[in-house]
This record gives sequence, structure tokens and C-alpha cells, in this order.
Amino acid sequence: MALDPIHVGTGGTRLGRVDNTIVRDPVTRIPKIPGSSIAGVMRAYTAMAKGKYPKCAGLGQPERNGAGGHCGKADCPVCTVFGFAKGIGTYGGFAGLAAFSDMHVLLFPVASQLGPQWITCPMALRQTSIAEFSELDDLLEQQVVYRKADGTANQPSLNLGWLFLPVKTDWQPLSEIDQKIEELGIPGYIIGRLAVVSDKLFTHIVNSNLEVRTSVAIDPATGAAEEGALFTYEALPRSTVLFWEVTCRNPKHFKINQGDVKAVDSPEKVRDVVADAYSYLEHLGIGGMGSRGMGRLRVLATKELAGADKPGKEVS
Amino acid sequence: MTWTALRWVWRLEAPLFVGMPPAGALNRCRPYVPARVLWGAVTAEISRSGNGEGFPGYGKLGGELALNCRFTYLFPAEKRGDKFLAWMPKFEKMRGHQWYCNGGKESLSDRDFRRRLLDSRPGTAIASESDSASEGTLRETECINPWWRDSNCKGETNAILLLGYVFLRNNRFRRQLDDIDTLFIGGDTRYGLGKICRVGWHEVSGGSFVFGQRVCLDGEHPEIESDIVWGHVLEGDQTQIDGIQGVKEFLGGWDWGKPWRGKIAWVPGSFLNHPVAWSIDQNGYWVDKEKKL
Ligand SMILES: [Zn+2]
Repeated sequence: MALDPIHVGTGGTRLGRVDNTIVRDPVTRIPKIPGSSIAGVMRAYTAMAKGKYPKCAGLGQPERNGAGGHCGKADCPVCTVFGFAKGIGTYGGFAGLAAFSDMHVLLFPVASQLGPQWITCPMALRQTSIAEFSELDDLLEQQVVYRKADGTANQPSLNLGWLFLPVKTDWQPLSEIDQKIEELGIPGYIIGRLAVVSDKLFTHIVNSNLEVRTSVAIDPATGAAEEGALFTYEALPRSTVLFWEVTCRNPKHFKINQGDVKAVDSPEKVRDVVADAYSYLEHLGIGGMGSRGMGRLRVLATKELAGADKPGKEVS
Repeated sequence: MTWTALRWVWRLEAPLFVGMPPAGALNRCRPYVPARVLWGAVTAEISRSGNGEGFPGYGKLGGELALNCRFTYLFPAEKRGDKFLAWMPKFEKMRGHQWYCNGGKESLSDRDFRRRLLDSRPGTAIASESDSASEGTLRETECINPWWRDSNCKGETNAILLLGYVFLRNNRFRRQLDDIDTLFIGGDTRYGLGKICRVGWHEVSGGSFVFGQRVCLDGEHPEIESDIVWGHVLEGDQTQIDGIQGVKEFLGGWDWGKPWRGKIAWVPGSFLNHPVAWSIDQNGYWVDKEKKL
């Protein structure tokens, strides 16, 4: 869950409404955080947690004088779990035992007359790899909000930002969705304000309710705003719930320089190495604009997916 | 019948990167999955799942798998109603590569096809000293996107599927293949790329057609009778193939941590003016039986 707004940028600037845009899926247009960004920060934080920073963090290319670079040792928790590269032109790198999927938006907070509501859609639920959601079809009625049939749904309609939509409570899968989402460790105040819309509406709701901030660059020489330095940037708002998977491979199935992997000996240990860095995510965060109070994330729960076989799949 | 033919269909659960020679800082992606990539992924999966806590015998199992299984390339496909329709390449004079779907009823130029299929993601390494982009690491990686980018503005999101065939000698490895429902293929899998899930797995019965072409399943290798090749055809392995037209590329790869010296090959979609009986060899390459040296 995002504790701050999160800005993982596209690296480019674009003319128009927003200067610094965030990464989106090119077809669904829903923002996401690429797995490569997550793998990068988790590696750096694990290196900090294990006293291997900065040597085993980063790209791993040694400096010109030969200092630095990944240690590449079979007993290094950072190099075995996240992989390592050797200097340019030498062989013998290792791909790493943990794989990080893209982070997808699962629940998105929107202002309404009833206070914040957390919105999801069948496509976002399907992407969780939770077996019960795998066959969810898009909603038949596209222009309504589906909510639980309890006291909160007494309102016949609900505004989600600028959209005003009729409320319905007759969508059967909703109770199971509530239950499964609760098992992910998502707080009750979010579950109690959960609503489901169609895939198409979800894209609109997310994109028209992103946080857009305006900022100026400060000229270090004068301490004042730089000439022409006004810019805007967008971010996922605070309390967005994101979903990602860490696939942990069995260290016994791999060798490093013809020898056994020594730092970890099971998929669970691989997971534990990754999990040791979660507290850093909560304090140092991910993505850009960290100095502007953005990017902190709290991992709510780590859950092994039911039916996940050999590779230890995780949900956070 | 020596060989059993099965058709399998996979859905992309994450972007997929199958590398080809880069263009500057752009890591280009192939719009199909070569058989050798699949063989590698299936070898890894079967040897790990069958080996509990021990170190898997990748080399031995890989060899047995290559002998007893043959893979066609996987091509992008979409589901319409209850039908899976694959997009297949064909080289045409003056036009270059074209992609055809639905038995030739629909076509797209290579450029338009790639635009519908591919996306690219920029990336840099972060320098730990400065917490900013590390000098000289900016690159862009092209990937097959999990969703078709539709030009018809219907606003429907349609998943990208991958369709291909497997041939099993005397149905060997059938049980192990039945058990596979998820694979990680291609590059950068530790960044979550290349996760595919199987959505179709059917025996090809009766008349035995593969990509709409007749196959013969009785020989030493499965044979496909076709005037278009839908795999790579290595040049050095056979005498000149008369009248073949298309694009050639230098094909290389890795073998057990060592670079594998490549060869010049005709790319998928190259065509002849008459059908040839192509056999699929252990590396997934298409070989003209008559011309084999
Ligand atoms: Zn290390």
C-alpha cells in the first residue's frame, strides 16, 4: 500500500498537461511500476540490510581501478538472490533466484460524497493470479458501481470523482472478492469501502484521479525558483493498493561457478532475504521525487498463493 | 504413427522479450518465439519439477527432450469466439514481410503488425553514489505486450496469445508436458517478463494439419509440407534450396554458458514457389530432407 504518492517516471518529459508522466500499460493505460524498478530498489535495500552496500548493489561493474562491483560469491545473499554481473567482457554472471513482476494497481482510492472509496475491476482482480478470480468476466453493465449489500450501499448513487454512477448490489462474485482481498491483509477500512466497476471505467477513474502536482526547480545559486522551471508531475495517490508477485526459485536447482548456492537453501529462504528489505521500502521508498516526500510503500502481507507449486509464489 | 501432434496455446501474463540483434540502445524483440527458446524453458521446468531437492540433470534431460519432442515456433494469436487464430509471416516480393491471419483473410505489413504487438520500456541503472541514472546505462527494451493494441477503437482489450505445435515421439514426455501450465521464457525473467500460462492443449487428430499445412507423422522427424517456412532454415546444413526468397540473418545463441557460433539462416516467412517436405530437427530448425548434406 502506498504511504506516500508514488512517482515512477517514464524518464521522458512530455509537452501538455503533465510534464513528468508515470509508467503505464500501453493498452489499458493503467499506471504500473515495472518489475525492473522493484528489483533494483529491493537489491539496493537488501544490500543495506546485509551490510553489502554499495558493493553488491547497483550494476555490478567494477570501477577502472578494479574496486567495487558485485562480489559474486555463493554465500552472498544479495548476489545469489538478485543475481550478479561480472566485468564487461567476462562470462560467469548469474540471473538470480528471485523474479519480480510488475506492480499492478489492485485498489484505487477515489473521493466521493461518502468519503474515500477504493475501486477495482475484474481485469485488476484477474491479474492477481488468485485462482478464484481467474475466470472473472467483465461486468455486463458498464455504467454502474457494484458494492456490498450492507448499510453502506443505501445510497442509490455514488460519485467517483467527477463521475456520477448508479449503485447496484446484485453482483454475485463480490462477497468472495471481499473475503479473498481481506486475506491479503488489506485493512478493514478499505474493505468496507470497496467497489467494483467495469474494466473500461476503471481506466477512466484511475487516470482522472491521479495526483498531479506542480513544482518549481530551485536554483542552488540563488535559493529561488529557477527561470522557467515550473513543472508538473503525476503520481499514484497515497493508499493505492498495489499487487506484485515474487517468484522464488529453489537454490538447489542452480550452481554458481560450478558450486552450490550457499547463502540460501530453499525458496522460503529466498523469500526471507527479499522480505528483510521491506522495512526499507517503508522508510526510503521507491521511484522519483523522494526528496518531495514521495514513494514510501508498506508491504501489507506476504501470502503464498494457494495452488502455487514448485516456484514459491508470493503476494504482497 | 511415430509422432503425436498437439497444438498448444499460451496467454501472456507479463510482457515477453525474445531478443534479436539490438539497434543502438534499443534491445529489439522478435514477434514470435523460436523453438530453441521453448526447448530451453521446457527442459528447465521438467528437470526441476522432477528432481525435488537435488541438482537437476539439465544436459541429459535436454538431450532426451530434443530427441523425443519437436517444437514449432510460437506465433502471436488471438481468440475470436471459440477459435484461436494465429498471425503468420510471409515474405512477399516488393513488399517485404507481411503477416496473415484467419486463413489469409486479414493482413498487416510487418511495421503495422509490430506496432500492434510491441511496446518498449526504457530503463537505466541507478548509481548508488548519487541515486541518479548511472552514466551510459540508458536503454530501451522492446517487449511483446500482453494486450493487442487495437486500431479499430472498439475499446475491447484482447489478450495476446501464442500458438504453436508439439510433436512427441511415441507420446514420450506426454505426462510431463500435461503437467506444465506456466512457463517463464525469453529474457529478463527476473524483472517479471516472460510469464506465460497455457490456455489450450489439444491433440491434432485425423487429417493432421499444422498451421493449415499437411503433416506426415511416420518418419524419423515430423514433416510439414509447405511452401512457406515458419522456422529458421540454416544455410550451411543443406545444399542450395532452389528459388527460396526471403530475409536472411545471422543466428547465434548460448549453449551452457558458452556462446554458440551461429550460422546464416532464412528467417520465418521465407517462401518457395513450390511446397517442400520440411522436417523439424532437434534444435527446432526446418530442414529440407532432400537437400540435407
Ligand atoms: Zn555480493
